[in-house]
Amino acid sequence: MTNPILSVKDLSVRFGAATVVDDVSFAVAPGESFGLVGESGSGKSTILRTIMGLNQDWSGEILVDGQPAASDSRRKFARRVQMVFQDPYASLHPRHLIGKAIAEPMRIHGMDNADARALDLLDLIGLGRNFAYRYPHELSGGQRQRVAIARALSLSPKLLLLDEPTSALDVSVQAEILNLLNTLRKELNLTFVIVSHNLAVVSYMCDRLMVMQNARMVENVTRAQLRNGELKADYTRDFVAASRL
Amino acid sequence: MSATQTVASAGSARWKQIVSFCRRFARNPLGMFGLFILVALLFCAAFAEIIAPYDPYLPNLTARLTAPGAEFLLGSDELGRDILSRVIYGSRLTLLIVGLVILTSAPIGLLIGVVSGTYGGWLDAFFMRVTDVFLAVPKLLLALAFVAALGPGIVNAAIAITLTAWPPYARMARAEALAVRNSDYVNAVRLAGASEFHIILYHIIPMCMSSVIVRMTLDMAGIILTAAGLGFIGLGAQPPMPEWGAMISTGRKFIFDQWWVATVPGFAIFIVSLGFNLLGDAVRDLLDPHLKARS
Repeated sequence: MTNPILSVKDLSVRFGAATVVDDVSFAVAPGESFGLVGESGSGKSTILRTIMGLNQDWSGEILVDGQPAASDSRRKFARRVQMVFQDPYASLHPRHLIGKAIAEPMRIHGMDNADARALDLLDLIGLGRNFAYRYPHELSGGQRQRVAIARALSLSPKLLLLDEPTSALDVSVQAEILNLLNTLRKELNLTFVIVSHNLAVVSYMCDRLMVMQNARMVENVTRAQLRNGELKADYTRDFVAASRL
Repeated sequence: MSATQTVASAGSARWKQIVSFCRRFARNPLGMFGLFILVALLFCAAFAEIIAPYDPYLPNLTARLTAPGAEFLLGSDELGRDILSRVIYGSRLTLLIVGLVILTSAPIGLLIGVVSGTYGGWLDAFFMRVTDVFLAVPKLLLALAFVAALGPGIVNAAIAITLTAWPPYARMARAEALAVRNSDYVNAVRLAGASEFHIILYHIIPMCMSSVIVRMTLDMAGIILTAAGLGFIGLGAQPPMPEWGAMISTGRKFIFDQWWVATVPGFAIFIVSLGFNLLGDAVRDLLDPHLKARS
C-alpha cells in the first residue's frame, strides 16, 4: 500500500502485566473500509482506543496520514480521526441536549455557526432538526447511535473508527445504522475501521478484514475470500463456522 | 417517547424539565411541608420589620420575663424584649449563617473533589489526605478552636463551620468524578480535543451537581444546629443579636421558672431544622442518582 491513511506497525499494548495486543500490524488505504474481527477479549477494541490515545502504555508505531499519531496536538488529531463508541447509552452526556452534544466538538475548535452545522448534521444522519432540543433519555438506542455518529462527523474527519457500532442495538435497527454508515462513507468519502465480533456485519461493511485471537493477529482476509471460504487459519474457519450457526 | 412533544428551543427543553421536576416534587407531602417551612423562614427574614410586633433590641425593664399572653405573644426575656420579635429577627441570622456556609463549603469541596477525581495521581493523594485530616478532627472542636483563634462573631462562626463542612463534598465529588471521568461520553469530548478544564467544567461538574444539591439541603439542618451550638456557648453571634442559640443560652438561667425564654428559640431551631431535613429528603428522592438507578 503506497499511501495508507492509517498504518499500525508492531503495536503492543499492555495493561499491567497482561499483554492485550501483541505485535499487531495493519494498514488501511484511503476510502477503504477495514474490519477487525475476533471474539471478546481478543484486543480489537483496545487497538482502536490506543489509536485514539486513550491507552498510554503501548509500543510500536501508529501513523495517521504518514504522521505519528502522538506527534499531533490533540485538537489537530481530532480533526482527522474520530471514533464512535459501542454503547450509545453511555456515549452521550445525559444532561446535554442533543444539539449541544453535536455542536460541542465544533465549539471546542472555535468553529463558527456550530449550532447551525449541528442542525445540518442532524438532517444528514436522518433524524431531523427538531431532535436538537431533546435529551438523550428521550431517544432510542438507534437514534442515540445516529447522534453519536453525527458528533463524530462534526469535525469532518477523514477516518472514522467504529467500535462495535451496532452490537448494543436491536437487530432491526442494526441494518438501518449500517446502511446509514455506508451511505455516509460514500457521500463524505470516509475511511472506516470497524471493530466487531459479528462476521455478518463486517462482511457486509468491509472490503478487507483482520481476524484476531488472544491479542494476536491470526489472518488477513478479503471479503471475497471470506465469502468463498478461502481461509488459511483453523481459528478463522472455526470462527466463521461458529457465526453461521 | 412519542408522548414527548417537539420542543423548539433549548430554553423550552430546560423549562420542560423544571416543570416535570416540580410536579414530581409536589407529589411528596412531607417535602412540600419542608418547603413551606423554608418559605415561611424566608418570609420572616425578608419582612421582619413588618411582622415583628416589637423592636427586638429595645429593653423594657418594667415588662421583664412576662409570660406569654396578650401583650407579648410568646413572652418576654430578662430585659423585657419581645421573644417573638427576636425569633423573627433571628431568622435573618440563621439564614445568613446557613447561606454563608453552604455558598462557601459546597463549591470548595466540589472543586477539590472534582479536580482530584479527574486528575488522579499525586494531586488526588494530596487533596484526599488533607480531606482525611479535616474529617478526622471532631467538627465542633475544630470550629471551636477556629472561633477561639479568630474571635467570636457571626462571620467567624460561619467560616469555622465551613472549615468543617467542605470535606464530605470533596469526598462525594471525587467519587462521582472517578465514575464519570473514563465514561464514553467524557472520552468522546476528550477525543474531540477538549481540555481537561473544559471536561471538568461542562461534563463532570454537572454530573456531580445532583449529589451536591442533595447533600446541601440535608446539611443545612446540621449547620443550623452547629451555629446554634456555637451561639449557645457564646462563640457565635454576640449579644444583643437575637441569634437563636444565644437566646437559649440566656434563657438557661430561667429555665425552671420562665420556661418560654429558652423554649421558644429552641422550637424555632427545631422547626427550621425539621423543615430542612424534610426538604432534603424529598430532594434526595428526586435527584439522587443511586436511588434513581434502584427504582
